[in-house]
Amino acid sequence: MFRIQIIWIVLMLTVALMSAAMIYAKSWPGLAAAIMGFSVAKFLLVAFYFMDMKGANVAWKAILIAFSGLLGAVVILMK
Amino acid sequence: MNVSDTAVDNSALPGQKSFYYPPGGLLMWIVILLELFTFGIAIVIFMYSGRQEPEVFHSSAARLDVMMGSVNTVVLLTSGYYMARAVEFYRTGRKLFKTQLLLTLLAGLLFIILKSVEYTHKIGQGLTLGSNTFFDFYWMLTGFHLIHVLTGMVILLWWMYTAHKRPRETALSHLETGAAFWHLCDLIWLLLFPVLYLIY
Repeated sequence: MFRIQIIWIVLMLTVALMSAAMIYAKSWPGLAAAIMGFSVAKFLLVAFYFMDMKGANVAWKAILIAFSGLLGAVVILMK
Repeated sequence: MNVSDTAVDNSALPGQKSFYYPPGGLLMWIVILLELFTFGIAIVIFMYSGRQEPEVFHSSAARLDVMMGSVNTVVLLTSGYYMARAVEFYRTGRKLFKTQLLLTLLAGLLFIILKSVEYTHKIGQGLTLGSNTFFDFYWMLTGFHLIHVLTGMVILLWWMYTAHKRPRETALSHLETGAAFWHLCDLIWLLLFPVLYLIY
């Protein structure tokens, strides 16, 4: 239970960080990659800890990691 | 095959989880993967369109309210947090699980209210479906996501109404399935928010 609270705090901090980056670092060339990186990290944190995929078969974990990583990479490359 | 039936077997070999046990059940996870792939393909097409019309996408994205999108993200992630707590509380027999579930629903309702405010604002500005390619995607993607949130709320309300009529194990399995669908809404939004609001 304590771990879920920690994950929630981490998620809130990343949302705040992304919003702050949009305001204060808008001209930074690596912003899109950083935003997608944080988004993929949040995606995996929700899937593994909130959805409890940590306890699932490794195939399901691999599918989720591959999907989010691939989509994040495609978005960055197509930006 | 019942969705809940798939969530029982969790021991293929000692120390190895069965492929047929993702939390929430196999059938729900097939739905989740199909949904994720569908939204994923839509996002790739959105990005491709952005390369065709970079000026339109840049100026349109600038008209979205990043702060409102961030608040919506916080609200939805908080609802996911309460959902995870509700499942854990029910699993361990704690009475406060109903409070957690109600907080989940309240956060879901707040998300819908905030989204409605944002939609009203956009309609007031004349930024509707058909305004340009960016806003076509904006309305379609966020609209379908909103339908998923509404569906998730109906599933959870149905569970609250019927859980006491079922054996505890079945009710737990159904709650895990509903929770998996609810978290799907989180996952989809975590992909939509940066792509629509932030990276252009």
